[in-house]
Amino acid sequence: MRDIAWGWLWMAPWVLVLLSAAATMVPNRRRQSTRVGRLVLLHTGLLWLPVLASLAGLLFAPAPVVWGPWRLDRLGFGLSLYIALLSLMIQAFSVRYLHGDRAYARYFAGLTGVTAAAAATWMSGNLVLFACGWAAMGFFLVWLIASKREWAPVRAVVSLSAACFATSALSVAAAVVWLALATGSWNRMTAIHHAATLSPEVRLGISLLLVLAALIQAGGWPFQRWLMESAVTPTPVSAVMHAGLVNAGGLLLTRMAPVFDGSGLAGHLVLLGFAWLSVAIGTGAMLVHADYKRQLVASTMAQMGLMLVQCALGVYSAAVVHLVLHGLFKATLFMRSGSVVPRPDQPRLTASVHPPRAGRAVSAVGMVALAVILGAAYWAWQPGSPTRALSGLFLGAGIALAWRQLAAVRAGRWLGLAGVAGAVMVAEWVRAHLDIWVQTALPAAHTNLGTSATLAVTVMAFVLFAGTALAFAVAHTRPTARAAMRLYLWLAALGEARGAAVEPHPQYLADYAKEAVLK
Amino acid sequence: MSQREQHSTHGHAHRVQTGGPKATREPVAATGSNVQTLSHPDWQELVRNSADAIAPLWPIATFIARHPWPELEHHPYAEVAHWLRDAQGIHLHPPASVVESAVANGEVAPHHLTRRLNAWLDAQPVPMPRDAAERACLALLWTFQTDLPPASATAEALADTLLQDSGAHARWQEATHPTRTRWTVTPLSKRLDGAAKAQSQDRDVRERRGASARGLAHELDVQTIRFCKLFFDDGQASWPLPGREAGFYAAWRQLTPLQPGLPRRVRQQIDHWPKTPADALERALVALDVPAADWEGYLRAHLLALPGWAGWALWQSRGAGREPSLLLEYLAVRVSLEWALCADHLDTRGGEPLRGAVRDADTSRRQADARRFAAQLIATWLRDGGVRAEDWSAMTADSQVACLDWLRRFVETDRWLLWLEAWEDAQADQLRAAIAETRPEDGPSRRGGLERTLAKTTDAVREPAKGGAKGAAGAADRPAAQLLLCIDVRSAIFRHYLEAAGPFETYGCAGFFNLPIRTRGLDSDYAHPACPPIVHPVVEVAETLATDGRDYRRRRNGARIVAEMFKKAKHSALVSLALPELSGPWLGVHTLFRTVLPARTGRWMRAFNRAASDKPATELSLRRPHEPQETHSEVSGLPIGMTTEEMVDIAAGLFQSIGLSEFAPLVVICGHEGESTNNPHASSLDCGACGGAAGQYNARAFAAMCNLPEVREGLAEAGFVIPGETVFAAAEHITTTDALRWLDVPPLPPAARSAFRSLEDVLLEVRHAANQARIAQLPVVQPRIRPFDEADRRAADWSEVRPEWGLAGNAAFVIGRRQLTARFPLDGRVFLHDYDWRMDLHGDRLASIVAGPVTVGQWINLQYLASTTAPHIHGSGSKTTQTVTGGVGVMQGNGSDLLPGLPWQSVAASDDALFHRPLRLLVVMEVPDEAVTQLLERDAAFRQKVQNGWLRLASVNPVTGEWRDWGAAASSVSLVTAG
Repeated sequence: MRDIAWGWLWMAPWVLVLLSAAATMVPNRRRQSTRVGRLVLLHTGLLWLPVLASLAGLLFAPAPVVWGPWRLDRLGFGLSLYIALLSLMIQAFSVRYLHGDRAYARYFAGLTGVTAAAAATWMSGNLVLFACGWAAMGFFLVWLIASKREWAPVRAVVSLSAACFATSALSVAAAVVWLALATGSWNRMTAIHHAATLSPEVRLGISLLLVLAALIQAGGWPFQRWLMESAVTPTPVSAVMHAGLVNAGGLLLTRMAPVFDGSGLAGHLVLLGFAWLSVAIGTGAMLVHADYKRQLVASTMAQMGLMLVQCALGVYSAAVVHLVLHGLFKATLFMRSGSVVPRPDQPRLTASVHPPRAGRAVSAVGMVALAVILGAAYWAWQPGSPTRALSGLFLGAGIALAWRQLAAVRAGRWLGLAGVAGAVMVAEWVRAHLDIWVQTALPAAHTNLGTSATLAVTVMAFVLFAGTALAFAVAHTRPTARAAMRLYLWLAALGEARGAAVEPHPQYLADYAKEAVLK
Repeated sequence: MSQREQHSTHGHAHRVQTGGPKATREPVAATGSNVQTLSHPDWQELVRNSADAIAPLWPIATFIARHPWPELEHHPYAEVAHWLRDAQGIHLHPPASVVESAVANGEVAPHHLTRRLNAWLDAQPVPMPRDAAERACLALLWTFQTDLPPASATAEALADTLLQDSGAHARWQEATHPTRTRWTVTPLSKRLDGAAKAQSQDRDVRERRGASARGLAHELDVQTIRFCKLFFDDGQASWPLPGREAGFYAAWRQLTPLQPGLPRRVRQQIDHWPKTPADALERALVALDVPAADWEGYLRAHLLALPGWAGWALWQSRGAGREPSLLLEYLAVRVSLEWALCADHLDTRGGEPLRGAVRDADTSRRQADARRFAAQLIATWLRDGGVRAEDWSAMTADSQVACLDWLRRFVETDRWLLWLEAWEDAQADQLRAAIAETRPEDGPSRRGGLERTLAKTTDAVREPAKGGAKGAAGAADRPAAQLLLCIDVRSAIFRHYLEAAGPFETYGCAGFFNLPIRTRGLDSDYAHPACPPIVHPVVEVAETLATDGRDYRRRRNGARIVAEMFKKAKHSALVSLALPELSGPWLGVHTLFRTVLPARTGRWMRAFNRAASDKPATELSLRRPHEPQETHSEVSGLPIGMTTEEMVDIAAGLFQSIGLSEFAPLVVICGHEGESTNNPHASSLDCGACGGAAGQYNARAFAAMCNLPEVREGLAEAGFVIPGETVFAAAEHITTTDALRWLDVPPLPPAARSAFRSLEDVLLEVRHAANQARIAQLPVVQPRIRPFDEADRRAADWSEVRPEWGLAGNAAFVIGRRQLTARFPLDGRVFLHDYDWRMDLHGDRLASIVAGPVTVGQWINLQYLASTTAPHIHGSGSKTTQTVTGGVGVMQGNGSDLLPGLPWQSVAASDDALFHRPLRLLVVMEVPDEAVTQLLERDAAFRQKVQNGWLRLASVNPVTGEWRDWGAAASSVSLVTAG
């Protein structure tokens, strides 16, 4: 009885916002009318309800609530809260940002659909529902991208992403059907608990299907193209895509952890390999490209690669925290992507007109070396979690960077340092608490890799990351060496959109102008 | 970056050697002139000539009102519009649906059109009976359809009969598809695409086109974009393009052979390509089989393919003060790559046969088009003109072709131009009516003193009538404060409410206040040219600390370091991976606040930034220093500060041109600035006359200058006596919220202080009233809002795409006394420049107003016009899908041309409704006719603008109030030449 109440309490708000979003689409679709405006405002107001309901569930619901095909656990409520907040923030942004767009109402419907589908997926206790939720996310996203299909590149991107998401959905569907048939249960919890009893080949097979789905969704290599071309969508769609959709792969593996953990070293190494390549290519593409949205997109590829590396290391809590914080980070950066025009009249920060340049080339490599030393020391000091090695590496690089930056500034550098350090400490405190919370919300990991294998994977990840950074630094030092130029061109090409997804001049606007009336 | 000298290569230019299998068959032995051109091609000149169709593109951070075609004003506007239609497929005249809606709104009445049509028909020989022609024209004008309906069977038969005549056929072919437009020559890549499209049933072709499924021209554009955005990056990417110090062409030639994704043959071709751009360009042109006489047109077509990136290259080479060598390199890359792509294509298809096929396909397509068009035109004559088929057949083939050609021109261009002119007439009528309303009183003048003095000498000026709002009581006649604002169309509303609120006079002048300066902020390494792009800055004015600045610098740098560190971390391979954890919580909170309280959060962020970077007292280096070693700036190389004579000239010139001779106790010099959040085009809302930046330094400099005793002495000698108690203060008009922000207020004597207080008292009231007028024009989501809050929110909300309308709607430029424009509707459509002809008997001031502010206004007008009618090429696309590239400009989606103009949201209220009316600027001067005649005689550039229809000119006689149009003849349509 109580379960039913909680179930309704959680679900009713989501259904309500889906209805209100659909309602905005009903009245005269082409013309902006005050009626649409009023409905949109009402709808964005209602978006607070899922936030509040999820928050209530998170704080007060007896975990887990099982209600029909739903399974509302603590992680589910947490994710639902995150998704509802994201949906609210992005749609509130869209009210003004997209005002006047021909597909104005459609964006709200699509954004609500995509977020509701995500929330449903992570709350499902039934494998069929899970797969349907997964497919619905992809469907709504493609539908959103297609909103401006009068623009030629959009049509190219729509067909590519439709193919990608269909593959990913089929892959998930195949995995859950296989799992259900092999374990004899369509209940997600029952099925994954029985996963340990399956033969290693079956576990590996299912895991590879899951990895495929996760890689496609995360825009990992070799499926990065759809992600790279998604710069064609309006900013709010990009925001929801990068904050709420690409990270589904990490959650998929987290939700299916017992199955994936059973895939043995082979499964983990496959994931690590692809994930690392995605980090390397994504980071490289971000470094070489010059337009802001492409940099953001490439960075997402790298960040999602990192999330999958964390899954490969079996540290799901770190992956979940990473994907949540990355979502907030990336959604914000997308929404403020209009603020990145440099102001030429900014007062200079450095003490003199010409900041010291000597030794810059050396220090690029030197900084990586410093980062490696600091990172290794940090890990050796307290080799607790496997991700600690990587965090140490990043932190070391951060310290090296800060040191180099501050060296050039005279006035105010201690104030600045204190500001940076304070901000970082607060953020770290938040991260640590989130991590602890996620750990308690997650069922205990069943990695049957063994310590030595875990250690091997960890060391391998460390070496791969440090090696990549070193390679970039070396290439940076000798940019016109043939190998460096090849690397540069490959990274640029991998981060590019296909020719079909580019149009030199947005021709559809000429048609808008031809069809326009006067205000 | 360094540009290489190309002159050394000219010696080799006659050596015509082409790559690929067709090398020996290229037309080296063409006509005599061809060979001559080949042996001494002056590449710089060739490039300069072909670059007349593009304009330099400034960085987006200082968005400049930019004339899209500054080099084409010696051609009639209508003709240029026609050329661009052929070359780029853009339609510069108001689109049919817009005209239709203007008619429906009553913005243009049928009689305006009828008058224009009749004048046009009268002005030329018509090949048909007048009534038939008029009927056909009227039918075409009122259908509002771009395409003609399909022809009837009768018309088809008549067309076939006519085109069987070989002479008629040839003439009609030449008319519809001139073998070569004079201006551009279609590139081979485009012609190959056309041929492929024609043979698309040929599966073979489709398969072989493989990688370039969208055509060679598209592939060429895409490759150019990819290279340009990486090469021209200005610090946004942390791994710069390798070898770019060597120059555009050299870097491209070095990288292309290694580039993945290009066919191997193309890469090999480039690997063996000439080392210098001039050689490369020549080799490619010859290989592409372009006759030397067509080179200019061929290069022009290439420049027009991506006018944004080409314009950026042009700006870069101009900035370096050189010949357009960067543009030469750009063209060398484009044309070489075109040849490599086409050669690859031709090779796989078997060279010569395909070239033949291209020619055949071109011809057959042309013939089919020409035939269909002829039939449609005949159908129009029969149906709308009421011509009977027998009568048509009875005409000679020659007259039939003449009739077709005449109607073709009308269908393609003239009818749209007639609508444009009719609409412009309607709008001029409106303005004329508003001016006529104010005429009968002809006063009371606010410049009572001057008028009285002048009245004694000039019979023409009637003694100002007693009465009126402000001049009621004798002593109170004198205003408490005078405010000088920019001519900007947004000043008009603010000025109106200020004047209504108290004893305040306002004056309009160009917002750079006549100062040809570069301004440099405190601790900045950038000296901004704070004057219109047509004025060359001659001195630098730098901001320096008046007090100790250590505290300020610590505070400012402390805040900046956090932001800089975030940026650096984002661009670092390793640190960026940890950045979500390190900053995610903060950014999440930020976004949540922006969502819940958009306006307040925006204000808080701004307040924080201001607190962090609030400068202590500073002063501007106005006076030229005495020590010789300090006279020149190390940043701009210009002299620092001005001499007293320079300052006096500048100030006297400005006072004279706006007719200001009696000074109130407080004179406020107001610059202006837009206020918007998260807006890449923020600087487009700033002052266009200050080079796309806030006008604060110019306002401060001018005010400070006029407070200098030595300047006042000089001014007194020049006839401008500024009372000792008068104080000049500097302020800034925030156009988005209509607030007035004080910049510099010196110590005030009693009279000025009371004026200051009374001004302060009304500012809020003025702001409310102006907000109300302005918000009413903007599209809102929620109909019931308080204008004041709404304006405030728009300035601070990060999701707002239309913070204000900017200069959208601009349509006219009035030069005259304020009372002339007092009754204008408050819709922000008119630039207002104060001017009193009686203070400018020689017309020098008028000439300088026309050369400076009017030109700025015209550039702004054309930029808005082009951004509205060709938003995909001259605008900058939708804001929602823009991406800032290289820190220099914006592209659309996954990459595009560097888009030069205003975003779609800045000219359109929604995707379906335009806000800006794409009409040409109407300049109205309140001067006697002789002054206009004199001006047109003196100023050839302005005369050209008027004659060629780049703007419209009218004058209002200050004595009789008579309105006179100075446009080109009866109708500039007659200037259109066919093709």
